[in-house]
Amino acid sequence: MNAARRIMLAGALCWSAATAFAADTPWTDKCTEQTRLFTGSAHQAAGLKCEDCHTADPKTQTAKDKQTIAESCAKCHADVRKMNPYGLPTDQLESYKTSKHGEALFSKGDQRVAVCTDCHGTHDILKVRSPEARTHPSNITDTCGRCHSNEKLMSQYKLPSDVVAKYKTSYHAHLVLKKGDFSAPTCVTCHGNHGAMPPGTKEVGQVCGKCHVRQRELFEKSPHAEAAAAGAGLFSECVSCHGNHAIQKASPELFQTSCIQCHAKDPKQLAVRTATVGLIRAAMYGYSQATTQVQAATIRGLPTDDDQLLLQEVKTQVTQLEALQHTLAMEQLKPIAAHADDLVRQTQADIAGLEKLEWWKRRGLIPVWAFLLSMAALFWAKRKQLES
Amino acid sequence: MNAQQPVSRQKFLDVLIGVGLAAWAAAFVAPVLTYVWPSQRRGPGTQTASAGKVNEFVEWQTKVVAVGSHPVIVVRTPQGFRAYSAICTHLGCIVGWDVVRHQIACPCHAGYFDINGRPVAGPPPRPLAEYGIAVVKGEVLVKST
Amino acid sequence: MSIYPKIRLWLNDRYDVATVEQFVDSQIHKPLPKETGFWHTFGSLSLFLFVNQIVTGVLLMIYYRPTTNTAFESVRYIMTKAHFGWLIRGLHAWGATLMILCVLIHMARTFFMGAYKKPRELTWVLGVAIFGCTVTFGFTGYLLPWNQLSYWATTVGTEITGAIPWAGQYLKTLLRGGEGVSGETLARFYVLHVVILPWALTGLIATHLFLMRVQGLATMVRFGEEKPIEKGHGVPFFPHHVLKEGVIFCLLIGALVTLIVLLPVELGEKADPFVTPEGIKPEWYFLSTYQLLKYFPKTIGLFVSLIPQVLLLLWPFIDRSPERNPHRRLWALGIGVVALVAALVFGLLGYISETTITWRGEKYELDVYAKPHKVCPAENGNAH
Ligand code: HEM
Ligand code: FES
Repeated sequence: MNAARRIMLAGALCWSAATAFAADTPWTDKCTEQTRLFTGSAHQAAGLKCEDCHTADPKTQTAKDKQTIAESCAKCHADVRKMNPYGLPTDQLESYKTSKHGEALFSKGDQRVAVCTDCHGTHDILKVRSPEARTHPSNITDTCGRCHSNEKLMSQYKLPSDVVAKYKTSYHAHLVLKKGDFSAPTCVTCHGNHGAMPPGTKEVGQVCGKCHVRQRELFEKSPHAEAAAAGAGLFSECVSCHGNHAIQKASPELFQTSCIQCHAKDPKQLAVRTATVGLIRAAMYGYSQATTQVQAATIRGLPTDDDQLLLQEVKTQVTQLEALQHTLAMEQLKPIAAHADDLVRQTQADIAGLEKLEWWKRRGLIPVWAFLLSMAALFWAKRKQLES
Repeated sequence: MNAQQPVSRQKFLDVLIGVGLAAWAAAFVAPVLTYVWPSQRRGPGTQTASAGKVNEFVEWQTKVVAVGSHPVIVVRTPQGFRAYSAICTHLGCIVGWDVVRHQIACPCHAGYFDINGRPVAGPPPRPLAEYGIAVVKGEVLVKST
Repeated sequence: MSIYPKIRLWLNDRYDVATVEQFVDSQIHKPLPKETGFWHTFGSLSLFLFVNQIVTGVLLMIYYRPTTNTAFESVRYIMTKAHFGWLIRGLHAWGATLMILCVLIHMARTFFMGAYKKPRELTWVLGVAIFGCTVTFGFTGYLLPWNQLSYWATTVGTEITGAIPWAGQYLKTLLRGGEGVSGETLARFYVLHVVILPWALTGLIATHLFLMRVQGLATMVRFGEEKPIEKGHGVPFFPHHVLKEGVIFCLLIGALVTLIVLLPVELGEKADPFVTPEGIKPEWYFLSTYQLLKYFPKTIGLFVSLIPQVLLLLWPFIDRSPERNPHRRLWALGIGVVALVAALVFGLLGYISETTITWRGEKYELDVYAKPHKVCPAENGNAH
């Protein structure tokens, strides 16, 4: 192929691509990067054309301010009639206006805040559920991070710029980013998306409780719940002990580091802590001990079916304890811990019984050898007798 | 020497050896026979367990039984018996029955499963695995499928 | 007792009972050379253990199910539910090990006593085939419980055939019944283990014994100078020699039962093709070959490890001097001892490779070649 033909072919391709989107608007049939990006986007799939957004040639048009952008998206996206066929909500602009982003933009004209296109993109907008979308759970953290990890920008608002980095160390992030478990929360699960706003001290429990229903329920019954209800930043529900962005998988260690933040000089409360963590630790230890024993016995080929069932029961008790301690009610924890302890003992006794049987087998070697040796002696004697 | 050796002593040795060999044979045959005799009604192929008699269950009554080393929850519904793995698909607690909600309930994080084993509330991510049920001569048998 | 004459009469009307009786009698009371001692019992011990494998193997087959979903579970059933299943499985698994041990000792005995020389070359060749069959029995049987160890040892073991030039990949696929070790492999190994090998071995053993009986046991006398045993000079096979064997049997069975009880055969964890356990090693009788293979590139290693086996098979045709007495066969004696020591050393190296040992208070990690690397306490867990 010679160069001329190649150029002609490329031109023809561009032309046909451009005309596919733009019927007769003269400025769109230039071969542009935008056309390429638009190809495959959600808007292309919906049959939109360039001039549906661009009312005039973008080259001659003055740059839009972000307010105009939001309103121009809303022309369709706030129109129930237009959105209904796609099953999309129409309240994005309304809720955006209630968000910190929206407030700053609409009341102060702040052009640095995020508007629709900052998160969704422009020509290459994709549906949230497509994995390449900037708004997909696996990408959203970085999308938020484009601004919220920018120290210079965040300092202008006196906001921390390490939240995304911290989140990425969390157990939630591990689930979303490493395990691909998209039911675990990203930024928007707690802060909202269009109505982005940090949950207040009071709402935090509600936010976490969306998923951790049982823990929330139990917490509500605890003395801590009253402290939280009293407000004044005294106690920030879940966050006070578990932290927020960098949240880790909870373990008994948490009792060592978190309780003293408020109760350092409070021996009575610390005693409750010690008792609680003691119960949980003991149950966990018993469970792991029994598990090791049962596993070893199973590998050796001892009949451990029943013990494996018992272990499952113990595990149920331990897991219940972990949830139940949110009530801080020892009288509720104690019976469960006692039950776990019982079950562990039962398992260990059972394994000991199996071991006893093994012991008897070993004991049995003595008569077996006695018999075999006397038979050997008899054979020997018989042979001697025959030889003589 | 041969002539002096008392015949009775020679006989005695033969008898001892004979008895010893007979004991030996018995010690071999006995374990083999017990080994061959079925130790339970079902062999190693299918794991089956009995959940008891049909008339031990009233409607909506449940029971957790062991199939091998796996707990299984058996429910009597008006349409018949259903059985599900009793290990919660969230963190593995043993589930029970919520009399009020008529649902399988997990005690640990308040996970609920409907009567088809599907999670309907709480954190469990997957349905409970279903087990087969056969009612044979009034006995409810649970088997892994 | 009193019923036998009647049966004999009935049979005698139809068959020539006297000839049969005469034959059996001559076989039972066949005189053995005076030199027949304890070392001569290892052949019958091997035979006894073979019978033990057949009997316990058949018993295991009652509950064993050779599919990937049921093999491990059925062995667990044998171990935990079936009455005395642990004993039957123990007899079979430890019996296998002892059988190989007895066959090895038996071979060493015939080697050092020069029993393989003319006219008994074929008895020796059959013996080597029997040894091969026995080891293959062990290799195929090891997979059957379908646990992690057996699965991965078989994966590594069959991988080695892939190194054979030209036909290796085909052989490997044929052996495995596919790309990797799978249910197909299990089925193949099972068929080999319970149908093909038992019959092959039965045939080989029968021929081996037949030749032994026809030619009589060898003595230390140079070949060509052997004379038939004079009447009244030999030791009758029954009851004299059998009683001697009885003594050894008692000890062997004691050892077998002791091993079963004190070092029970494990059930292990079910095979998991996605999790490779650390330090996979074959059964002890493959260790020396396995270790030897590591020091050479694949194909060369295979040929190197083949040399001793070929030598073993052809030995009676290589060493053709008439002398049997080891003192006058220093050359052969030397080779035998060196071979045994080499097998022991390589086996030991294989045993300790990929482990950590403590020597004079210092910790060493041994790599695959069993070369020690000191573990410095500061950087614990790091080799070098
Ligand atoms: C000819 C009769 C034989 C039969 C019918 C037989 C059958 C079986 C069966 C069904 C198994 C699986 C059960 C188990 O793993 O415990 C097995 C395993 C095994 N067999 Fe055999 N076998 C025979 C002979 C032999 C011989 C001659 C040897 C070796 C010298 C041998 C070595 C083994 C070994 C090493 C295992 C694995 C043992 C274990 O890990 O439990 N078998 N055999
Ligand atoms: S373990 Fe069942 S809900 Fe958490």
